[in-house]
Amino acid sequence: MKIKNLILPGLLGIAVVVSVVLSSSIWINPAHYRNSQQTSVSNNSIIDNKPMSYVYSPTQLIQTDENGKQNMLTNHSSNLISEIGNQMKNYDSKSVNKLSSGNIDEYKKFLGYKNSIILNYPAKISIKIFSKFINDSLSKGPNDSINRIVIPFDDSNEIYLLRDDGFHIYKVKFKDTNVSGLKDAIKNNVGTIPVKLKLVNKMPTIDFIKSFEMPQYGYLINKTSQNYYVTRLLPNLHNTNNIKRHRNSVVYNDQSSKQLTFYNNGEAEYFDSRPNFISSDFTQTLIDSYKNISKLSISDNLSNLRYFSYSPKNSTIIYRNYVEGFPIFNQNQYGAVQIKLVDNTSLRYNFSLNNLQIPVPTGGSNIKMETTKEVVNGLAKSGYDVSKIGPIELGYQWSSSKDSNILVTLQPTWFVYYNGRWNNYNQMINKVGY
Amino acid sequence: MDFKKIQMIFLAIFVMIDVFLFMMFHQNTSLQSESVNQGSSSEIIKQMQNDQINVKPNLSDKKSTGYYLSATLNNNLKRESKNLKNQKISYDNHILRSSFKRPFGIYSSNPEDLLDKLIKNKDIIANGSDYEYSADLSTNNTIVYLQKAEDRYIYSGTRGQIKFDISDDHTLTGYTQSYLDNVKILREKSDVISKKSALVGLYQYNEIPNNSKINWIHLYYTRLLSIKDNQVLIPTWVISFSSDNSSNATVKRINAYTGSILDGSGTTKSASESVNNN
Repeated sequence: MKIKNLILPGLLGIAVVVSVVLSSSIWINPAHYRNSQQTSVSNNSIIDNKPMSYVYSPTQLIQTDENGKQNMLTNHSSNLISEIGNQMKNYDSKSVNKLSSGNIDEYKKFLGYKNSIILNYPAKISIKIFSKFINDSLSKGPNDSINRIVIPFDDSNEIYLLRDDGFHIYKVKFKDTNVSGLKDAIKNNVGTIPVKLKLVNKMPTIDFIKSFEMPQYGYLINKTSQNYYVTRLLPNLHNTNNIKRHRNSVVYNDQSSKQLTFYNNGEAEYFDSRPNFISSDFTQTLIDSYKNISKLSISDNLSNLRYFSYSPKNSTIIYRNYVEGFPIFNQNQYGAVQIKLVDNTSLRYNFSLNNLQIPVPTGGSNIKMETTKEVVNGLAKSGYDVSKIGPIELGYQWSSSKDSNILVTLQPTWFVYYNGRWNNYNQMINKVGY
Repeated sequence: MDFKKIQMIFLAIFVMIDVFLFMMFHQNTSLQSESVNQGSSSEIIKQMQNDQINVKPNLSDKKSTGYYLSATLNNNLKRESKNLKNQKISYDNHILRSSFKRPFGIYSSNPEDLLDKLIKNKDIIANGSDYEYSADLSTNNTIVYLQKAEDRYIYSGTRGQIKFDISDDHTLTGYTQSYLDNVKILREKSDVISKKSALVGLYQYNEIPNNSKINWIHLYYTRLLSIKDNQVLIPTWVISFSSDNSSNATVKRINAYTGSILDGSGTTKSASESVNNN
């Protein structure tokens, strides 16, 4: 009788406990609580963007032999710089010391370091970002910028980091280095262009001392649709009233913080007045900026895109497309992508809807390039003020084909920094646009 | 007595609540596992096996690299064919057709052993050393050799192929040959997707019917587009499968750079057309 009386409250107790356990497990793990609409997983991107170490990798490679002769190395079939990065990915740094700063003679010695290779960046970059190129082994390194790396081909287990601006030299000692792997990486199928790294007006400059030949490239271009960027960059644009059409452009505005403008010539401008990241630290700025361009994911998953310059004066970072270590110019005024910090609060992106897509045979022969000296003389003869000539870069001119609007030719050309912008040398001496 | 009734009512209500909660819990856990299913590619392979798709070739996740190549379709083969002996030759649309005046007898079960020697003989086949035997494409009556390019093979319709015809009475009667000249690297090598992601991609495009068997998957160079006589070749995952109710194998191509499908009216095809038109 007594036991029979306990059955009902016992069952009730069990039911209460079970309901408490079930409902608490649903409460504790919110994953159980979501509804079926939220469970769709998107995995349509098989190809990932190139990692940061790729976009911020050095672009040029100069080898100095035992006699001090220097050659710029190129390779048509593989990317020499990433091959070298692969050989250095197990490097583990032991110590970083500043050897000198402001000492021009010492700096000159390192530019001509015998039996070594030098990796060059187009502009200075923070040591912490360069560290990503060698397996983050310098992530605790000094908070400074560099633009050249000297890798001696000896068994000292050392490399040197150089900064042209102020002639800083750092010595990095590693536990072990892989000189034989590096030598192998530059052994096969390598083209050489004779150069000399020297100081011109106290500025380290690559002097191309002999004329040489460069190939032309042809590409099919891919014009990304405006919709692609609108859905990516303005997810909150719901009202078609926020689209304004002008004679030369179409403007999309989400009425709160973002505006996207497409110009008829294929250029685009994106203005973000409330960006997630803004930092005054150079390393952080470069990292944020990489995140921003990968958000745009332009240019073939960033595989041709490289960091080209940073100007602290107007807070502008420029990325350009590269072929075989040489930048492509005049795709538009600002490179492939330009990110500019406006009023310390907003970011303005300029980019082009036209991107290089598929390489195609040009059928054109190689083009003979003049030496640096001949270029300077040519400019002087055409009446340009030699003292105003800035850096001279070897690059590729993006020129549209007459036959097809989706075909472009990339022609090797000298580019001269003059009057605050990059100019095509051939156009300068032929006075096109002057 | 009243208290007992109240207890009964409470018990009934709590049992109902328990049943409801348990159903909710169970439903959500199964939903969760479903959403995980969509994520990883090895789960998708399992899903394929549930669809009775037989995946036999071993699927590696290994990443490899490939080039953009260019090749020319010219008539050099016609010129070189004049030096060939013991055969009657016709040449049309860049394809050389030859029939042997004195056919070869092939009685071995591995005809490629003999053909490997034959193909290197310059009096019999032009540029023969540029080709290699492909077991997957060959049948009893047709032995296929593919042209080599940068450590891989070209698979581009009839281009870059030699097909040997073997009659039922084991005689090698003749062959057809197409040659891609001037194979050049257009751009430095870059990464391609893995074999596994190529197959998963094709499955997700709904291109593989249920009850199919995957015969082979190879990374070949195939034609992306042509500009005049020049072809642009890219590394492509070529996937062959046959479905249960037909003996014919279907071949599909996946662009190994982007993972997109290459057959059908893709954007790349229209791009090539507009180049050709201009």
